[in-house]
This record gives sequence, structure tokens and C-alpha cells, in this order.
Amino acid sequence: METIAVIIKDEFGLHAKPAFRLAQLANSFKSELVIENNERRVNGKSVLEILTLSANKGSRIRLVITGEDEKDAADGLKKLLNGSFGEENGK
Amino acid sequence: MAALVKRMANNKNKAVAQDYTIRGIAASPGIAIGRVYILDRTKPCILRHTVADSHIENEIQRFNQALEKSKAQLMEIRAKAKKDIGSNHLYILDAHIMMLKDATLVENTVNFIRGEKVNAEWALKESLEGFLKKFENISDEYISGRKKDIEQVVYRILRNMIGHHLESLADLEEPVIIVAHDLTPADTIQMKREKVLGFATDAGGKTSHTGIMASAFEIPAVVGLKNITEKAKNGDSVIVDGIDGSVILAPDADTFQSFLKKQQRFKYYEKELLKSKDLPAITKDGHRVKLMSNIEYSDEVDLAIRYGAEGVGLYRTEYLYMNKDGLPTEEEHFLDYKKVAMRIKNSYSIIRTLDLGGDKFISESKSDIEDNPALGLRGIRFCLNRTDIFKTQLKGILRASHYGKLKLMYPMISSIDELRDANQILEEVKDELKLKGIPFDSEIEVGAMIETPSASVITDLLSEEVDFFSIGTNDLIQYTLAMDRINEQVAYLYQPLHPAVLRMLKNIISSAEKTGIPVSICGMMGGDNIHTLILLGMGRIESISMDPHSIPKVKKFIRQIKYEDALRVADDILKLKSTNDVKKYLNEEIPRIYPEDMEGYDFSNKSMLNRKEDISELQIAG
Repeated sequence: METIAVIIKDEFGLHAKPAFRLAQLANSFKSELVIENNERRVNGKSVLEILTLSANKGSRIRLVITGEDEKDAADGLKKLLNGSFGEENGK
Repeated sequence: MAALVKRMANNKNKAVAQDYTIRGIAASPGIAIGRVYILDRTKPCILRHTVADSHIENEIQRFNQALEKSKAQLMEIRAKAKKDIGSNHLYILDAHIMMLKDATLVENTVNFIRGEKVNAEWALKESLEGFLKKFENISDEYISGRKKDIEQVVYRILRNMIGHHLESLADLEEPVIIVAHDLTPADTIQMKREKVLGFATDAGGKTSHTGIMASAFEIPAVVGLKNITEKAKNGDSVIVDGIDGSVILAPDADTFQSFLKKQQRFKYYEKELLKSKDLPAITKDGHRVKLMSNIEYSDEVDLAIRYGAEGVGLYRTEYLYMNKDGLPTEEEHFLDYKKVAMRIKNSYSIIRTLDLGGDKFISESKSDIEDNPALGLRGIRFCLNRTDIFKTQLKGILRASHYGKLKLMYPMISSIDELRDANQILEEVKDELKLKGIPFDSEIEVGAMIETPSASVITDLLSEEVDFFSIGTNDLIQYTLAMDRINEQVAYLYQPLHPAVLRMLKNIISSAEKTGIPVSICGMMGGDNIHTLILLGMGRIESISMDPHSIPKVKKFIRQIKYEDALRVADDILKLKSTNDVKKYLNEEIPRIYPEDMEGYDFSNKSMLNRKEDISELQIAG
């Protein structure tokens, strides 16, 4: 199991565009991705579910990746998160 | 046309309500007369029924086939869109394609079919409802706004399952007036321009997708009609008045005649006025002024040029921030302004930095909502508060300034300190670009929008620290007279001819003259003939910037008047004591100087309908 903690820094929170990119990338891996925001947990492969997280600017979310390619998936996701809309906050 | 007249006249004998007028928002000028074509985007009725065990896999297969079919349709629209209109709307289509195959949406639907042993349509509708409910609890408007997208996608799948053909504007066979709740990019991308006479929609504002497309295609449109789709029926006669913002259903013969006249008059004047579009705006006694266009989005530049604009006097950049998710990136700013810079060849374009209030951005904290946004954190105040947003835009503007002559303008300046702070940030951004070796116009001119009373009083000081002034008359009048134009109780106080306003204008223009910087006018006052005369008479005005459609008539007007008259009129009215005195003076003086009839140039003026000339006369003239 790999986990990534992220603080959302985008002004508009985890809105449609980054949610699409996140789900798109998650779908390219076999591993399961669960995204947690406070008490809520959603399937990270579903863009619609990610949107229902309603993660605002400043939200601390956690990505939990499990599966055979979890290492690759975690690396890919970190790259995406650092590059654009989030701020990685340790492992 | 004769047949249509006859049919319309025959309407009188039927038992339909005659002459039903619905008021909306004029989004694109012109008069369209034709028949209603309702673009039906209502939701199909879905019923639940139980499926035998042996048929369950069959239902799942039907669902999957509908998914594939929907995907193929969207891909086809996407491919066409890419070819026809560039990549602007592709993101929305990509999002729809992705939602179509959303892991949870598909999984829930399949599980529902299996678990409840129900038909695929019902299962999909239940999955949709589940999501919509979750979205309802989200206060963030950017995310809850996606509800519309999910619905559009799911209803596409449902239609494909039921076998409803999803009609598209590509199928239109004869020219019609499109009546719809709202139009999506997927609709307008497929539209055949020549088959659409006009638009009338329930939803939308002037800067909604429908409004912008209509204006770009020069199709008369009225939006925000609220319930036109309920009132209109396919094949009904209808008139879309994109000049005054109304739609007339089942017009009687008299109404029809008068609008036919109005339509011809509009076409005639457009044609007549456009004849002089390449001539300079110069008075009879040789005083020259530049006529520029105000634009809301970069694609409007072509329209502006076609109407004879010499450049862009005001690019309001707010649209870049609206109707989208997230903030525009530096690259998006750059590409957009570059387009404007490259289109305007022998002149320049003034890009005004963001003039929105903080309320548009801070969606997460309700406590920040202001009681009085007009007096709140808006314009340059907001930009100085959010320098990250400001810098991104400045970088985009600077980078684009390498590709054509651009000028930069700050909105809502009310003190020298604000101006210096903004310039300080501009210098930082310039240094940053220099370090990176990115080319830009290092001599870019920077101006201040004069729209607060405080700025107008200190224009002698401000003029020494900026390269130009642009007077935003709309806000200046509101702030000076302490009135809100939207508030109907005080709307009568919107008085461009109030002595306080006239003195402010005079003061601003004189300050600019003394220091020797150019001044332009970019509020609504600039697009009105009588006001044009007064403004010209106040002093050395370099340019007047207005809505593109107003340019031809203002030009024609300027070419008929004398600068010496303008000087005298302005001089006289500055001595008068009240708005009423000024109006009285103008009502006597203008007809005296210009005995020939002036009213016909103003299309928003209803009086043009009452003029006596015969249509046939106009046809010969046109």
C-alpha cells in the first residue's frame, strides 16, 4: 500500500480539470486508488466521485493506492500532484 | 417572403393568442422573422420494469452498447470541432467523454441492473440521481455547476438506449429560429450558419455561450427569456428582436409589418453605415478622432474590424476568468492577448487588467461576502491584494506585447499609491521576464482608467505618472452621483449630463491636455451621438471606444458635425446649473445647428418604427 498526503493549493479546490487529470491517470494503472478527505472516502478512478469530495483550497486529502503496480502508480500520481494543482506533504 | 406574410396574416383567424411578447436580454442585434424550431433537450420519461434473470446480461449489454454509441457521437463532434473552431471548447467535450465512462457511474448502473433486476434505463437514471443528490450538498458553485454536464451526458446515453434520435442543428433543412432552453457548445459547433435566422433561449446572459456565438456569427439573439420554450411551438411564427431584447410570438399582421420595416431599416442602415467604415472619423472642419471598439473576448476583434474600429480601446478581460474552472494560466492569457495584438495592425489595443470583485473568487469562505461590492475589494484593489493572480495576467500581457502594439490599463484607480504599487509589481514581472530572456515590449504604455471621483479630482497629479487616461463613464457617473444603475428606485439619477459629471469630464480632459497625455472615452457615453458631440467639445480627445455595433453610426455622425459647434456647445452647457437646464439647452440647440433629422441613427429608439417612409423606398435605396 502506498499513501500520498496532499494539501490542495489551487484557488478553486480540486475542481473539474485536475479531477479529470487525476482520474484519467488513475485509470491507466491496475491498482485501486482511494481518495480520502476528512471522513469521506471515494474511488479515485471515478471523476464524478472525486468531484463529490468537494476538496477546497487548503483541504488535506490522502491518496491510498493498493495493487500490483502501486509503486508506479504512486510515482505517477506524485508527479501529477507536484506539477500542477497540489502540494505534496510528506509520504 | 410573400408567402410568409400571408401565413402570418392568416394567423389572425386561428384561436392562438395574438402578439404575445416576451422580454429578455438582447444578446446580438438584428431582427429575425421566421418559424420556431424547438431544439428539444427535455428529458425522456423513464419507467421502471423488472427484467427476467435470463435477460439481465442482455440489459447490461444494451447499456454498454449505448455507452459506445454515445462515445462515438461525442468523438465525432470533437473531431469536427477541432477542425472548425480550434481547441476552445474541446475541454468540455473531453470532460463529457470521460464522464460517459466514469468507473462509478458504470459500476453502479451494472450493479443496479443485477441487484434489482431492472431495466438498464432505470438503473442508469437511479445512478444519476444518486450523483445529483451528492452534488446538491456541495456549496462550491464551480463543482455543483458540473451537475449540468453529468445530466447532459447521462441523458445522451438514455436517448441512445431508448432509440430517441438526438436531434442536432446539423439536421436543419430550412432556415428557422432556434428556440431552446439553452445551447451547448456541442449544439453550436454542429450548427449550419445559413440555416439559423435567430436564437431565443430561456437561459443565459449577454456573455453566455449562446450570446457570444450569436454575436460572433451575427445572428440576432435574445436570451434570458425564462419560459419561451413553454410558450412557443414548432412552426409558430415568431419575431426575434435582438435590438430591443424581445420576442413576439404569433405576431398579428400589423406587428409583422412594423417589424418587417424595422428589419429592413436595420439592414439598410447597417449597409449604409458600413459603406463609410474605412473612412476616418473626421468632422466637417477637419477635427479627427479615433473610433475604437470595446471587446469582451478576443474573437470579437474580427467583428470590431468589420465595423470599422481602428483598434481596441478597451479589452475587458473578465470573460477569461468566467465560465470556466480554475484561473486562466499565463499561457492562456498570452495566447488570447497575442491573438488581439496580431489582428490589430496599424493601431493598438488597450488591455484592461482584471476588474472583478473578490466575491467572484473566494467561494469557500462565505464570511468574505461583501455588503457593498461596488465599494469593496474590486478592480486594482483586488489585484493588489492577490498579486499572484495579477502577476499571471501581467506576464501574459507583456509576452503578447511582443507580437503587436498593446497598452496596459489598470481599473478602479483611486490614488497615486495604488498606481505606484501596481507599477512596482509590473516592474517585478518585467524583471522576471528579462531574466528568462522572454521578449516583450519594454516600453509598453501604462494607463489608468478614470472611473472614481477621487481619481478624477487628482488627474493633474495622476497625469504625471501614467502614459494615458481612459474615462470609464459608466462607473464615474454612478460613483459621482452616488447611485446604483441597477436599482430601479434611483435609476432616474443616472444623468450623464449632470453638471457634476460634466465638470469632472472637463477636469480630466484638461489635466491630460496640460500634461500632454492622450485621453480616451470608453464608457457607454461614448456610443451616443449627442454625448459624442459634448465630449468632443470638451477638449483634445484622442479616441472614443464603444460597442462595435455603435461605431458606424457614431462615425457617420462625427462626419456630419463641426468641431467648432462641439466646442461652443460644451462651453455653453458647462455654464448651466442643472441637468434639466442642460437638456433644455440641447433640445433647442441641436435641432437648430442640425435641422436634418437625427433620430434614425439610434436603433434602440422605438421612434424609428413610427417613421413614415415607405418600405419600397428603402428597398430602392438599399
